[in-house]
Amino acid sequence: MIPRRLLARAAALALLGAAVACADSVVRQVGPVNDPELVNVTDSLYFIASDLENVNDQFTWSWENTGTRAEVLHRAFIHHGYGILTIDDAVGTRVDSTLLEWELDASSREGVPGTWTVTLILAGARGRAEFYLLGRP
Amino acid sequence: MRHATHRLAPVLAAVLALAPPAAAQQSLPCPDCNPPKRFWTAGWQLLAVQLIPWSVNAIARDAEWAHVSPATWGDNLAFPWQWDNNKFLNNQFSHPYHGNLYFNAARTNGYDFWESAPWALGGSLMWELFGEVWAPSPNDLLNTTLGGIALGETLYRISSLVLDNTATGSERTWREIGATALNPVRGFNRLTRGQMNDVTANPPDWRPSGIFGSLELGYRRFATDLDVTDADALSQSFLALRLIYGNQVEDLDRSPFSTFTLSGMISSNPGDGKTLAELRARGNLGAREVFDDSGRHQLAGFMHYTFLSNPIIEYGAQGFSGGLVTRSAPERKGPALYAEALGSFMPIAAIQSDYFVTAEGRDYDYGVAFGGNLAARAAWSGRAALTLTGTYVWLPVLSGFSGDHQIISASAEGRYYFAGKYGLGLAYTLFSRGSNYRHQADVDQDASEARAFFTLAVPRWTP
Repeated sequence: MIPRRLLARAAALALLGAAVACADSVVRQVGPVNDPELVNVTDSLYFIASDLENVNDQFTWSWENTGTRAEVLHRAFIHHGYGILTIDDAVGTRVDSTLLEWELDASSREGVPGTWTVTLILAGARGRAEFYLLGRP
Repeated sequence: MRHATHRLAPVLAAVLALAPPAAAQQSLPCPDCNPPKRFWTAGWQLLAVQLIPWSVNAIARDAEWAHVSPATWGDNLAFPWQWDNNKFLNNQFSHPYHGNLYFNAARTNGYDFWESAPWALGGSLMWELFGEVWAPSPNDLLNTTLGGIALGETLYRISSLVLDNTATGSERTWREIGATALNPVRGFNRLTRGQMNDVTANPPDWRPSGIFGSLELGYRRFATDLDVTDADALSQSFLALRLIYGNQVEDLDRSPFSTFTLSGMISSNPGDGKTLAELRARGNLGAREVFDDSGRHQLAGFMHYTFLSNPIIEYGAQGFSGGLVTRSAPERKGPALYAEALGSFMPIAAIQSDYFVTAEGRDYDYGVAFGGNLAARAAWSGRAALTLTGTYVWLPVLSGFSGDHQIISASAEGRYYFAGKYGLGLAYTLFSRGSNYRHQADVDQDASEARAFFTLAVPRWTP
C-alpha cells in the first residue's frame, strides 16, 4: 500500500509539473485571438487587446488632440512583461512615457494641440493591454 | 510641549515596565519558558496571514490580480521575475511588516530567531509565487524577508516587554491588548491558548538586561544646501521614539536581538503624505571578543531595517553590518566611551531617483548597498551624551535608470538631562548625495538638517 504522504507529495509535484508545462514561451504578435479594438476620434483614443500570451509588438497612432494635455486612464492588466506607452505632442515633444498600469488615472505633461503621436510597445506581455486617452485643456 | 509629552509618558512607561521581583515568580509555573514547537499551527497561521488579504482582494474587491489558479502559478514559476513599481511606503514598510507576521507565525509557536527566519522567506515566496497573478518581484522577496526578520524579532521582543504573566485585572488586560497590537499573531495565540488570563511566571528572556526609552518632541529644519538658516529651508515639528533594548556592548554575544535599537519618527508638514519620517531597527546577531584590556573590544554582526523619508532623502534598506565595537573600562573616570567601525552590506536598498518616476508612484531606484559606519559616543551617566556619526553608502542601481548613488553623511548629537528624566537635545547633520547616471545628467545634492528637541527619558538616562 502506498503511504498517503507519498501520494500527496506525488500529486503536488504532478500539479506543479503540469502548471509549468502549460506555461509556454512562444513569442507572438497581437492577432485576432486577442480581439484588438481601437477607437481613435478627436480628443479620445481607446485601445484594448486581451489574452496576450508573451506578445512582442508595436503600434503607432496619430491622434487629434485639441487640448494641451492627455488624461491617461490605465485599465491594463499586464501581469508579466511590459506595455510601454509614449505620447508626443504636435511638435514632437514627448509629454508622457509610462508603463501600462492597472486601474490608475494619470495625466500627461502639457503639450501643443494638434496631431499627437501615440506609441504602444508590448514586450513579453501577458494579460490585457487597455487604456483610454482623453484630451484635456 | 511638556503637556503632550506628559500624556505619552505612561504609555512609554508601560512599554518599559520592568519584571516583577523574582521572589514573586518563584512559585509560579512557566509554560512560556520552554514552549513546544508547533509546526502545524505555525503553518496554518502563515497561510491565514496570507489568506486574509488575499480573500479581501479576490472576493470583496474582485481584483483580477488575486484570481490565482494553477495556470498563474505555472506562469510565475516559468517566467522571469520583475521589479515592481509600488510606492516607497508600500515596498519599504508594508512588505517588511507583512514579513514580520510570517516570521512571528513561527516565533510565537516555539521557534527561536534562526528557526523563524526561514518562515519569513517561505511566506514571502508563497505570496510571490502563489498569492497573486503579478510576476514575482525580487524586491518584494528581499524586502519582505529581511525586513520581516528584523522587524519581526524587534516586535516580538517589545511585545514580550509589554506582557506580564503575573499581572491581573485591568493592568493585565491593557498589557495583552498592547502586546496584541504590536504582535497580532502572538495575541491570537495567547487568546486561543487561554494565556491572556493565566497567572504564570515570565520567562527570563522576556526581560532585557537593561532598557532605555525616550520620547522626543521638537523642531527640525531642512535645507538643500549646507546652511539651515537658508530662507528656503523647510521647517517641521516632530515626535520621535527611541528605544535601546539590552546592553549595547555586554549583550552583543548573546542570542540575536538581545540588544537592539529602535527609533521612529512622525513629522508635521511632511509633504506628499510622508508622515512616517523614520523607522530604524538594528539588532545584534553575534559577537566575538577580539582582545582583552581594561575595556571591551568585540567583532560584532548586526541586522538592520532602515526607512527614511524626509524632504532631503528617501532611503530604505535591509541587510547586515559587521565590524569592531569597543567601549572603555567601566571603572574609568570621566564619561563612558563607546565607538564602532562597521562595514555594511544591504542586499536590497532603495533611494530616491532624479529621473525614474512611474505612474504607479515609484520614484526611487533599487540596488544593493555597500558602505560603512563610524560612530563615537561619550556618555555621562544620568546627565548627558554626545554622539558623532559618519556614514557612507554606495548603491549601484539594479532597477531604475542605470548608474549609481553615493551618500555621505556626518552628524553630531548632544543631549543634556537637566532634571532626571527631562532633558534637551540638539543635533546637526550634513548630507551629500552624488548620483551618477549612465544616460542622464549626473546630480549632486548637498543638504543639512538641524534639530532641537525636548526629551523625556524612561527610566532616567543612565546609559
